[in-house]
Amino acid sequence: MTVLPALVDAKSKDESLSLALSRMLAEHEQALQGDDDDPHVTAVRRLDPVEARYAPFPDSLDPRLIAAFRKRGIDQLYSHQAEAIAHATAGRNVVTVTPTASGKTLCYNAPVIDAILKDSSTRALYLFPTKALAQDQLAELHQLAELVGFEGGGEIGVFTYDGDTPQDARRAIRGRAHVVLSNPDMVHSGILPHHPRWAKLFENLQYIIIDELHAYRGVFGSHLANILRRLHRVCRHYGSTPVFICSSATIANPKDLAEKLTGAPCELVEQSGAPRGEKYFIFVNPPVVNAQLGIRRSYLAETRRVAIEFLKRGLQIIVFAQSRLSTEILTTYLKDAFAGPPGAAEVVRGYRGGYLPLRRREIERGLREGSVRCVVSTSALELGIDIGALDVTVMAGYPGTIAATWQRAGRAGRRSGRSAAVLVASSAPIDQFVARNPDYFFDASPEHALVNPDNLHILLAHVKCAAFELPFTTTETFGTLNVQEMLQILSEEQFVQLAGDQWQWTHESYPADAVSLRSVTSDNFIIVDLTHGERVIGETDFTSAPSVLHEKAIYIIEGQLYQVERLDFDNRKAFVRGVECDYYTDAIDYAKVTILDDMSSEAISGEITSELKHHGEVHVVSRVVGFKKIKFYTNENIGSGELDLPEQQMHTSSYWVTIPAETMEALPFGGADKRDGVLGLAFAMRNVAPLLLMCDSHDLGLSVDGVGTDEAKTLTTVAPTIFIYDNYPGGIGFSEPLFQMHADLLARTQELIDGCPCQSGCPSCVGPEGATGPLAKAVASHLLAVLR
Amino acid sequence: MKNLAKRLRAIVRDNRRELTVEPDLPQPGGGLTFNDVVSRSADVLGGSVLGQEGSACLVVDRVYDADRYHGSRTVESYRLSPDAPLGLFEPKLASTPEWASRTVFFDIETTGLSGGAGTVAFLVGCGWYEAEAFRVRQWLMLGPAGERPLLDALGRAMDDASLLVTFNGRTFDVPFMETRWAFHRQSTPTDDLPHFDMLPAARRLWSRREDDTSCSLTALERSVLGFHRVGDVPGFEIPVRYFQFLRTGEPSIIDGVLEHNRLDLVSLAAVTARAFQLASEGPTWCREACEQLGLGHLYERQGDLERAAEAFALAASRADERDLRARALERLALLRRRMRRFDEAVDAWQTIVDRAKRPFSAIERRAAEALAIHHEHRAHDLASAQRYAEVVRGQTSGRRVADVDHRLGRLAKKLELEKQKGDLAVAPLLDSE
Repeated sequence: MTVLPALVDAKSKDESLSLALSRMLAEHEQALQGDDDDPHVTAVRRLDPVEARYAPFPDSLDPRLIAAFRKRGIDQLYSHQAEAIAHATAGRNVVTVTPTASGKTLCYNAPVIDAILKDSSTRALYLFPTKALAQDQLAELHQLAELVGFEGGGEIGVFTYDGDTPQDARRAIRGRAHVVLSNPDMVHSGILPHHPRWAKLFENLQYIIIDELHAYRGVFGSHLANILRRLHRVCRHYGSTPVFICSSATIANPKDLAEKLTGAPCELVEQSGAPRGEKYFIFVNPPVVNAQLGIRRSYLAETRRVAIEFLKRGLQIIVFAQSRLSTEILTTYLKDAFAGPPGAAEVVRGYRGGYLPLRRREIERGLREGSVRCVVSTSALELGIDIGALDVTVMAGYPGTIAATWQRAGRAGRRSGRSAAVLVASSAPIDQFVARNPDYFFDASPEHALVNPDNLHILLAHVKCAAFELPFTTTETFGTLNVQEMLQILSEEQFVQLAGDQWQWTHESYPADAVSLRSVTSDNFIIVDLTHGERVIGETDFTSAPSVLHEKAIYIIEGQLYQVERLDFDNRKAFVRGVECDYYTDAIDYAKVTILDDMSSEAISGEITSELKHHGEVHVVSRVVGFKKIKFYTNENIGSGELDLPEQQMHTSSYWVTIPAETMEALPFGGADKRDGVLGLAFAMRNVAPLLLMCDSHDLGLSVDGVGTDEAKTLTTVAPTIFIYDNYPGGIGFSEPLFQMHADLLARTQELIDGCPCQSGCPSCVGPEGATGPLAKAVASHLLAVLR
Repeated sequence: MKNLAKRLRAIVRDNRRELTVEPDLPQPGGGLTFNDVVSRSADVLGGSVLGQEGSACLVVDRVYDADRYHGSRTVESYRLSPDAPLGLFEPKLASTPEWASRTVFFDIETTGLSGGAGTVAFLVGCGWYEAEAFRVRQWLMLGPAGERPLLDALGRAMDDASLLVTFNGRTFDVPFMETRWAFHRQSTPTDDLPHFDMLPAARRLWSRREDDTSCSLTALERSVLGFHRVGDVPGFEIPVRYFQFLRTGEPSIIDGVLEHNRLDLVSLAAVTARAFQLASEGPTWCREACEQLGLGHLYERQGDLERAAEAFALAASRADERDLRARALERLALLRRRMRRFDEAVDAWQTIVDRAKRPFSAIERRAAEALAIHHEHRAHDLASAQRYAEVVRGQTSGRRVADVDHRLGRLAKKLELEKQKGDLAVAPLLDSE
């Protein structure tokens, strides 16, 4: 146990950072000179500081606004700001792609305040993906509004409007706010369904701001696209046509995403004019400790070691973990390392969704003020919540996408001065691929953010909401699919009724209540601690509840361990009690896929086909069947248990490969080995797929049909099928692209398996040998050669 | 995409929630055009199409002749007198000029209670007195297109009104209609219209217990007017009936809802009239103690303390329920204390305590406490104060015990002190003997 040294002052930071990095840089030098084919530090990139590019304030901006900016020390604009403002004030929708800390808020605050100064009836609506981000912006806008007020700009009302807004304040806000800061959830359930009360806003709505545009991908983005379709209808009703100003982190398709979400053409501004300090980007691959099994040192232990290196030098750091569980494990490790005297303020904190808001605000403040020296977070802190400029980002595991990696790395670093980002690779195949091929990361385009606004589950829910808000006419459209057909079906089920040439909502329900934007169901579970009376300590969403809150599960919050005593599934509650133990639990789940509709062209034309590849609609039944107990630090498996939990079902889309019977027949291996080979191949393909699709690993699910149970270890069919499905009800649009990239997928999978230095399978290629059997790697490689 | 309709149907059915009410009603008839529905509805419901041909709004007028009975009295007997004491019930309206020239009673039926743009007032009813009768005019929407003409017509009716009377309209009917006008981007005709909500007044006069919430209009029309509805459509069925009517085009389904709304309006006018009559005639004219108690409150608020005291005293003597009597006496005691007639206040409190049964109600405990305070601070009778405080102590539990103990402790000290003083005062006498 070490005592943490004081935070170094700003002047000495560059030097402390250099000292902390020196060992890693030296190791890298050595690796470059030697011929180590599995170096510990696989890459060091130094990103040069970038000079600022400036532009003058546009003449059209109100002089009171310019004066206010000058008071805040802004005498000119960065080039991208000027460009974005020019588009917006000319009435063109715009999306600005900017790194962290490049002054993106000015890109939208300037046109908004300018418009209000020119006509005080002007209104603007800001959307942030989370409430916390809106709170952050509120402070900034208040300050600007006040400065403008001093310049004779009159009073500019800026308010947040979200689930936390007190009922009695809402009426006043509706009347007085020039600028409403909200989130998609509130617009969906609180503003649009009550649009008559917001008539003043909608009649005068000139700008809609969408911040953190890249956050709206997958289900969330598909919902937002539909909410904006509804918003357009309501604006049309009140006679306004707002301009969209969006800002996004770096992704491959910002313009396309903005246009899909807003349903309107958008201009793109992507050359940032903001300066940036020098930054080191380092990849660390934990060393192999068992060459035969291909087992590397635990990446969490490695992350701990790296983090301590920086903390010892008096630097302030953020550690990103991949899951709630690893966040808690790392928090525990780092708290153990720097336990101060009893009663002292915590310098190491955990942070993730599921913490109650007060606890989160306290941690954010601690980071800004410097009392919190290290925060271990899930992606929850990836977005632009103001936690000040930290010195170092340490990532435990590859975040899954290039965009997210840059975004997380951006949480450290200032406009001048040195910062660093360290990526510690786990043994997951995708991590190993990135660690061994750093160029892939540094040179490739970041990911596409995909949305599918026409996912039928999502679309239909919003058509109901839209019908509630304003009656559809018999000639109206909504998105690209035939809304009249949907209304016809909704009328069969008595949600709407055709009266004259309009569809009237004829249902007593409030349809927005039945939709949750963050997932497909709106349910969540609350976690009740019974240690000292009953106390709610957290919550978790419906889909992950069975795997983290099953009975006997160890639930961890900020390093505190609790054991689940009872899961009340019907009432959505888990009762836990504090425990002291040296293990955590990891759920085992199982998914079964049934094909509903094969949409591959060959299958549609009715020809008998020998094609391996397919895509189409499937039904997935998944269930948590058991759990493993895993010891902290050593990661030994020290026991397991069976569970009997309800199934979860979904209708989604999938890509699949059916291995022909004759191919299986011809394999020169035994039955159990063939099975292992198919499983190993599936494991590797499923891990390569996100790289090709440029999507998040969690977006895909895997199921292999015809491989029998763990005990039987035999094939139950002559032609097994590997399903890689969209892990969202209704599908989110990955299956067809994957089907198109089938050949590439097999080629890359072969590269991964054949290029892996392990002997007979490891977690980085076909899966750990213990789980897949001794010949899995050989069979998988052989199968691939035949299938290609 | 293959089979869009089939997939959509599967999703919709999967997500469908159970319908809460599904009354046994005629099923959809086929082949009716929208215009057929409009004209058939006008026939069956006895109304006419509002405005031009093909409009999706019906207007239905009914006249209740002056000599017709509603409950135990005639329609004419419920006509409001221009000098009825409106300001007693609603001080803000005290100086409304000419409010009685066109008093409009107002009630709406909606497609749900949740609010939001998708809930509409599909039926709006207004009632007013004409020379020889009470007239009810209703507007019924036959589809979304009917709302605009409905709102226009309603707006004109509001423009002609001098006072709007509703039952719970302060929180429901009027704000609801305001959002509908806002929806259609119209100005709000109710903005400057004086509005009297009868519900709070009814609660004052006819709510028997402090926690009584059954002050519904239908309960009042039975107890106050002696009117009993037969075959009335229950409120929760109303939205479902309307949806069913839209689906089937069968006007008989909705007829009962129109009748329900009409009866609500006639009863609202009648109940309002009865309330004003009670207030004009005064507490001696009341049949029930709760009415006298309610009037007492109103007089007190108006500053007519003597009349209020008379009403409370009458209520206390008339009341046959212990709780109601205690409430009246407590009001009386507080009022007399306010009037600085402390002895009379003590009489009232004393009566409460004398008639109290164990365990004490909150009022009875407060009365005993008031007596303890009075005797300690005003009458300076420490022994009596201690006696009452001990009564309070015996009837107190929980957090309040500490307060009572505090009082008892203080009284004990004062008594001790007094005793010492008494001893000192007595001592010289002893010496002199």
